[in-house]
Amino acid sequence: MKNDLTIIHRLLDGNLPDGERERLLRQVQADPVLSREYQAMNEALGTLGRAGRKEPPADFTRSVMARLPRKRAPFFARAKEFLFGSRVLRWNLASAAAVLLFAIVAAVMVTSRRPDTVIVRLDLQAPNARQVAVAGDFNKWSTGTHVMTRKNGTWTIELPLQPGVYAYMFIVDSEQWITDPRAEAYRDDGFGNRNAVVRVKI
Amino acid sequence: MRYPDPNHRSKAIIIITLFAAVLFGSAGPAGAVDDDLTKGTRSAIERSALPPAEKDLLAAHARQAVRSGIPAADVEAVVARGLERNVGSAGITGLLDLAVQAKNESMPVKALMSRIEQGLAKQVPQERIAAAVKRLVGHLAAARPVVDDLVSKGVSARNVAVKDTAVETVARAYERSIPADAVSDTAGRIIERKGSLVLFDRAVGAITDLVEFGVPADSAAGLVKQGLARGYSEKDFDRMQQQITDSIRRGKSPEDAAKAQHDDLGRDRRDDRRGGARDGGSERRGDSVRGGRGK
Repeated sequence: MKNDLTIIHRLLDGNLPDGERERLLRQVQADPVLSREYQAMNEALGTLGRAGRKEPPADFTRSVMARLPRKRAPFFARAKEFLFGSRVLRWNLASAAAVLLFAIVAAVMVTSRRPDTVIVRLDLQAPNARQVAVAGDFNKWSTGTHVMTRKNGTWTIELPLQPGVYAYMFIVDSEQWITDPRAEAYRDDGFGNRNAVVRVKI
Repeated sequence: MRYPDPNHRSKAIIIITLFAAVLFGSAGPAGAVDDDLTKGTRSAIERSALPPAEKDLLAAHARQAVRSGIPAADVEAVVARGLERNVGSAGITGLLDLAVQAKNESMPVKALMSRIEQGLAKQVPQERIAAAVKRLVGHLAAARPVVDDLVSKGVSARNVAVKDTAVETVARAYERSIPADAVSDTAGRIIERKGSLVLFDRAVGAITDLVEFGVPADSAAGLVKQGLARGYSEKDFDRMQQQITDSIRRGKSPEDAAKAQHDDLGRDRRDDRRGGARDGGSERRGDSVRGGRGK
């Protein structure tokens, strides 16, 4: 029977030389059982052919597997599978774009993150001054960038400073360098004057 | 039914990735240019009235300074301000070369650059700036072995910046004529109590700050020594310094303010002995341990 079925399979698969096909066909027709079998299989093949070819849906395997009765594995087996089991990531354009966007935003946030700053307020009583500025380590001793504002004879400025120790001096009317008389500490400037010092802590 | 074409999807992901790579690649730091110098440095040199040969020479020295590791912004401040104050290219290059020399000898240059920048801002003659910088280089050279020795003996330095700051603080102490013995004694006590380099920095800084307020060097060193023996943290030194400077501002002489603080510390110690582990004493010691770990 096994050999007989092989004959039918060879006939149905086709691609046989003409002489060979005729010989096998005669052999099948000579045997009524084999002939019936051949006829039934041929009809089934015809039915399948007429039904046309359909692609299975993308989640076919998953949905079939989901319908199978669940056999609950032991806890440790599940834990092992959870921790060490390999997974297949199913990507699509939207999820790839979302991940990329997240990576860009995270990278921008990390690179642009600045250490915390503290607002330090400096003031100087100089009622007769026309202009007061402050120069120090925080602005590389620039005399014109941090000009203070006047309110009732007191000149004030608020500086956002990162933690550290900063030496500074006031410049009155662009020419006179003044040490803050109310500084928490002082430091020799190396040129015969004293800088005021502010210590910034979080 | 339509199914997405996997090839088309892959192409789209590649395109987005390339786009992102181009976006990141083109975003360099503001002001940075391809030849090491900032835009500000180049434009200051170009705008100056120097002859072309001197401009080239100044640019070459500035470039060398940046390449040695001196921050480009500091180089810009020195070059632009030097030109603005008519220091001359030879004067500016002389100052830059001093900083480069220090950098090449692995010395911290933050304080050096600050000194040059403020000297130029305060219109100090170039020769005096150079002399002040050379003095500071000498003090930095003397300070470095002290800090290196501490680190080699296991005093924790969180990073290079902490070490550099400590070297600059010791140099500042030497500059204010704080005896080297006072600094080495402080270092010894830090090793003894397994303190950090940050605590050492604060302790030496406190001695110098008190001297700046007029407290005699030996009194200031004695107070810090007592504080370290009591387990003071950086915060405790801040508080101690604040109390002394407040007293001085209220009219006390620096000597009297230091003596009062000295007496307070002695009283605290006696109270500790009498009452065992007093709450305040325990807290201070606790603080110092946290400080030692570099909070």
